[in-house]
Amino acid sequence: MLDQLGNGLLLGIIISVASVALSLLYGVTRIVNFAHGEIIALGAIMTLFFSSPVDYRVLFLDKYSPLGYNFAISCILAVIVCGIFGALLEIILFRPLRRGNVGNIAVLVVTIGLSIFIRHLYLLFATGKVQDFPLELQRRQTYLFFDMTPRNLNVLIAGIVIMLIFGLLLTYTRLGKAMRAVRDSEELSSVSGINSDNIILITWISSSMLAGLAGIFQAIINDVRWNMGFLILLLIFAGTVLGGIGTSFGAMVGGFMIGILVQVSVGLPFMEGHTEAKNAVALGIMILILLFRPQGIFGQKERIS
Amino acid sequence: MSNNLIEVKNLKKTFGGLTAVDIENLTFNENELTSIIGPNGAGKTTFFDLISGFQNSDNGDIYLNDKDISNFQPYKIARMGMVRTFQLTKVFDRMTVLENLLFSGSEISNESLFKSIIKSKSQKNYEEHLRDKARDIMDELNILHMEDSYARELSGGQKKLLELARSIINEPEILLLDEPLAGVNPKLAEDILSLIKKLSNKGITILMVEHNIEAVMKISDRIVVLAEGSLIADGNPNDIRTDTNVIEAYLGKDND
Repeated sequence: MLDQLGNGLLLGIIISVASVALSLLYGVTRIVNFAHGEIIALGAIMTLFFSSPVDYRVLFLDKYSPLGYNFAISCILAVIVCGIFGALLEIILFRPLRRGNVGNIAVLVVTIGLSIFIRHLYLLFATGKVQDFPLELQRRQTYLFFDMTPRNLNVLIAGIVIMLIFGLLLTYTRLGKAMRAVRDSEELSSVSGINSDNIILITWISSSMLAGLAGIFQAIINDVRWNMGFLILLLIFAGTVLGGIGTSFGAMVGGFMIGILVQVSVGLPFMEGHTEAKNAVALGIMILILLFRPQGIFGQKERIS
Repeated sequence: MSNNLIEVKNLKKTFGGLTAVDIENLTFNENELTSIIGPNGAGKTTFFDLISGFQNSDNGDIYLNDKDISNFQPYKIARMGMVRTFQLTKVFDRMTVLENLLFSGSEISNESLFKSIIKSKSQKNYEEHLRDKARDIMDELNILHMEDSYARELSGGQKKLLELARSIINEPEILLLDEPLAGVNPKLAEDILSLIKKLSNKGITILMVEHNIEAVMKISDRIVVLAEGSLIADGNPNDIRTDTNVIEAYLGKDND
């Protein structure tokens, strides 16, 4: 089982970053975003587009050449593209829905539709072929009691550092406080002089950028596929719920727990030959935990009145 | 037009076929405590929503200090010094009582990203000053012992007090109170009333929607009566008490 710990940590960091992004968006806007997976995939696909060599013609229907940029720059550009994409979603779609007082369930269905729509656009334009970033292969090494490639170790560390910085910003800055204020009551924030539209826009941008980053991580660790975000979407929901809905720190820990549980369960004796069923154990444990702690591990009980 | 703080002209708002608000001309004067009363569905809360920017009017103009604020966004109006409360009490649930006040009380310019991370001496002084101010207000409203409790843990009455505290920490010029006494026990209602009177004496202009007629009669300088969206009476409490239009609106016509 322990030999799966390294893989668990890597799946954990992907889900953790994506869960923090999902939880942030839900926390402020109350939107359960099923299209979250597509923003994740966008991060990976854009990075592939920016960084693949110019003579590489798989992506985008063979018609357009990739740009062949430096990999690090490509990642940054891709994250920025995701931020812009999130901003557009808010401005074109979700702000008008909010103005029209469309209910939460209807908005949820909109995000499901959006998810299917965007995912199949990827299938059309980015092809269904599984692709890899243009990075050289690395050999696994042992760190402490888990093993992974040096590059994946860097991903793990970078992910944790970024989430911690993000958490500190949310806790201590005016922006973070304003986000929490809008989460509690949009109207009350307005009365306190907060432009809640701006805060929600910034939330969409930061959530989408984080999601894009999670996609880049996922693609570095595994590969790029048109439906890569959708494949882990339910695990991201699980991580968010397990940590306690709407708490960033909870989502971070919950995401890691789900990732580790999923991978480590592969090593359980009765799982031999059934590795595809690995999600069963992790999500079973999630359900058990929620039975005993309905608000999630770090969620707080609300006063009912 | 020196002391016309708020002026409303031809203000109209309809929902489908229903006229919620239709007011030709109404002004509110500086430092007056005005109550807005009327039967259910008279358009009182809609009127508040319109002047505080929470709903856009169909037509008409709203002036604050001679500045046209029609269809301004709520946060802009709040920044101009007109602060409101809500019929269903709203507090920042997941902040403590103190945090609620600090958040509402801080000036935007004093909490930039840069200033929150690197705290200069003046910034520290500012925060200290704000904290003291928040404590004074909590003390006055008898919620100081709750300062570190999360707002969601407060009882209904305590939330009302917190909402009041929150709305006065920025020393607004105008305070719109939407049913400040609803669902509050008689003793607390008494306290809230005297607080409102005190705020008014301090020079804050207060507009209040309230169903408790006794309370309204007791503390108001002026009473405005709405029925079916229109203004049917406007005057001091004694005039209103005997106004036939008002009695009709509340009790129905005699010979029906």
